Amino acid sequence: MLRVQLDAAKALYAIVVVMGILFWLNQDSIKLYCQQKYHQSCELPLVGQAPAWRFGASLTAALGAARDSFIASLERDKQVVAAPATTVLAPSMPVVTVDLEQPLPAARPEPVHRVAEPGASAPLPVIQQAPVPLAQTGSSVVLAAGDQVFLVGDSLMQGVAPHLANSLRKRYQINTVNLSRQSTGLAYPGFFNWPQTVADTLAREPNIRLMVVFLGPNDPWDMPQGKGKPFLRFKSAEWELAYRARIDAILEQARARNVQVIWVGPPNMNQPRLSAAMAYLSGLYQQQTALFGQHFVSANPFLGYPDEQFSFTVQTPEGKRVKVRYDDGVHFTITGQKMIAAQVLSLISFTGLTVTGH
Amino acid sequence: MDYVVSFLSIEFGLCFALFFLLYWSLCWSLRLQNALLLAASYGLVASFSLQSLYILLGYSVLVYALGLLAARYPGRWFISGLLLTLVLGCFYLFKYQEFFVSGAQNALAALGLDVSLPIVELLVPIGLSFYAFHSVSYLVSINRRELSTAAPLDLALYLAFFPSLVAGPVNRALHMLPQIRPEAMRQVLEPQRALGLIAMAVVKLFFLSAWLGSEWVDPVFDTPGSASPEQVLLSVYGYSLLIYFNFSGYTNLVTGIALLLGFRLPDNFAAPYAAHNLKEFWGRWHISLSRFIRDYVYIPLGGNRQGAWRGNLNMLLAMLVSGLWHGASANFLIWGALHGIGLAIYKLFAQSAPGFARVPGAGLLARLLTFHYVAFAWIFFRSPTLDGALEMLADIAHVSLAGLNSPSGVLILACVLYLAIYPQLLKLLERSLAASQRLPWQLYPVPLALFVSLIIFASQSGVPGFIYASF
Repeated sequence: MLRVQLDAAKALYAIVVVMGILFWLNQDSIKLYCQQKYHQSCELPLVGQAPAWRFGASLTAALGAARDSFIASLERDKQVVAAPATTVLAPSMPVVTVDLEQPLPAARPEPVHRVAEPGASAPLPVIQQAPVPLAQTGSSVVLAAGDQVFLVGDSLMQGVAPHLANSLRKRYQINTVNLSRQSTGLAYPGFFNWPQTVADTLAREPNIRLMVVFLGPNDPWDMPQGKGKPFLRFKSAEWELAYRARIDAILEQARARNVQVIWVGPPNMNQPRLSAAMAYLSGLYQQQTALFGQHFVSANPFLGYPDEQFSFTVQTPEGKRVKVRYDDGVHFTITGQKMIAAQVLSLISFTGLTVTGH
Repeated sequence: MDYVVSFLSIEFGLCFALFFLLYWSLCWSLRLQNALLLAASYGLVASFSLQSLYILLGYSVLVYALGLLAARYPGRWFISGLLLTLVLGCFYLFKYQEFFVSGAQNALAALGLDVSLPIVELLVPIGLSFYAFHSVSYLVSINRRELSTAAPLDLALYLAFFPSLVAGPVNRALHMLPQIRPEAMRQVLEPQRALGLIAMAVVKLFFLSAWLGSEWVDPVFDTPGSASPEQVLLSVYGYSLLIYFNFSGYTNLVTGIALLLGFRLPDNFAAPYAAHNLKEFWGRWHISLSRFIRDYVYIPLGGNRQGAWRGNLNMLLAMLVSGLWHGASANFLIWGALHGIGLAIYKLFAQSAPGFARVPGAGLLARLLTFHYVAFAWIFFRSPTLDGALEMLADIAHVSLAGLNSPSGVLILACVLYLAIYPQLLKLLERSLAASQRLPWQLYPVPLALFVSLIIFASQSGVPGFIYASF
């Protein structure tokens, strides 16, 4: 028995040493991961700020900086080589912009249907055959040949994005820039900074004329406000202020670059708490987009959800029942993804573009 | 928003270290060790969803009762009938309901009948695909009198053993139950190799498969048609490598974890892309599953005992079952059918040209041919839709010499070269792994940790998923 325990102790030693070194070197990314997942500051007690412990983080940071400057230096060389080619393309630019100087009509987003009728027996959701109200308001989102669409969001968008991109390309020959990434949102800019990413992308891709934003489920938590400060409580006045500011930062970028925005509000979720939080966030998205004269649309009517009801399946106008939500009660099935993509697409009108196939 | 427990997460690592300490401090009592393992397994399932736990518990009770019945009346037809009802019923209820119901609805609609068939909304319980197979092995062994019934808790642990619960390998009762109740005291098995396997899993999952996925594979498979023919071809090479790295990496991981707990899981991968033909490929790829399908589907169907045609038909059926097990869609069925047909073609060829293996260069040619056929089938396996798969195939048909003179073309060439020298690379890898095992135990963890850190540093952020956890 002693031998068995000695062997186990040796193995435990190896496990502890390996984990110790891994934590020492990767402490900063682990801290971010912890903040993003558990919504606390995740400071290690006692050793957290000890110089010997912090040295591990410095090592990794230095290594990262070395890698970045190495890549940047390589890219610079590449750009020097490619430079003449890009100047040739410049004359075609004005042609594109003329087409896009369409004034953005002051959109009047319809109020979201959030007035639940308590006690009303909820029938199985039926998808409305008519498009969602916003689509009828004179098709305020316009795209023309050569335009690009920018897709922003989390795993919800990751599911919808391929279908949107496919239809845009096949039907209208419009390309998309899809940067949607799982676990992202607006609450943890230390983990992933959407306002920054949007600014960079819009600066880099001048042909982007429409940005579709679809996120939310990663955000309804307390969020950090800076090093050493306490977390902001979800739904507190300060939280809301900070969150609205980040929505504004994205919308501001779009306005500065004359990019139209369709902000899709996250639909109801299986878990009541999360679902209520989505309704709250949707309210913020809707108010801020309205202030900027952009378009907000909730995903609920896309899936045929009336009010605050959630359902895994919905009934199509033909009376067939289809599953639209994935088992986790958050994500969409392929059918659900396609439905949302089709509805978003129906909000866009295409000028001077011939529809091909499909 | 990912609820599936990841064995490579920080949380799991910390919990496992504590669990390890507690587990081995109880080594004087097998009963307590097993109880701890069972509790941890159930905890893991419950962390996914409580519903999954209830289903597992209910399933375990049914299997136990059926085991008693089978021991009482071994070899009787109704035992097999009940077993088949249980397994197929569960699979239908949780995995295939939607597929069959919507298929039937569409068929009826085509006949002009508009019917809305009932669907019970159920979530797929975690691990069902695997513990259902574990139960088949247990009950069939009892039915064949190879095994007597297990004690209730032993059986529960056999079904729920957490390292192999989420995504295999598929255990056999005859192999696993003796390890749950061993003759001598349990001990940590090959600790250095176990940790080496876990490090290898990090390389394969965090680095190789995640990188291939985001750089070569996902953009093309998600929006087929937006890429050049060469990029499409490259994505197929990429996916073939990715699914191997992903799944074999996962197997390395759970095998390492099981070794640290004193269990030996069955082999699941043996360099599958070094296979010279499809038959050999299936002896090297997801071995525990293909042996299961052979023993419990192919052979009961009659195997090859009733002539060549019937044998091939049985093989096709077995591969179709394998395809359907992976998922309820036409694409998985096509994938299974392609393998069934490929195996039949190989058999015909081997009979008609027995001297082929002696032709110079035949080995390399056979390996490349096998790989490319398997890669062709993977297109259907990975594509979300049948249309997507067909579109990709149409794109690949447009690959041209001029197009190959591009960055993608160079990478395609690199893939082919990699496959050509794969056996030599394997030998090199094995030798360096063996050398690392000879380091003294006091020192071993340091280079291992630095190596893993370097891999994490070079990888993208985020925890990778396991493809097979969703089957």
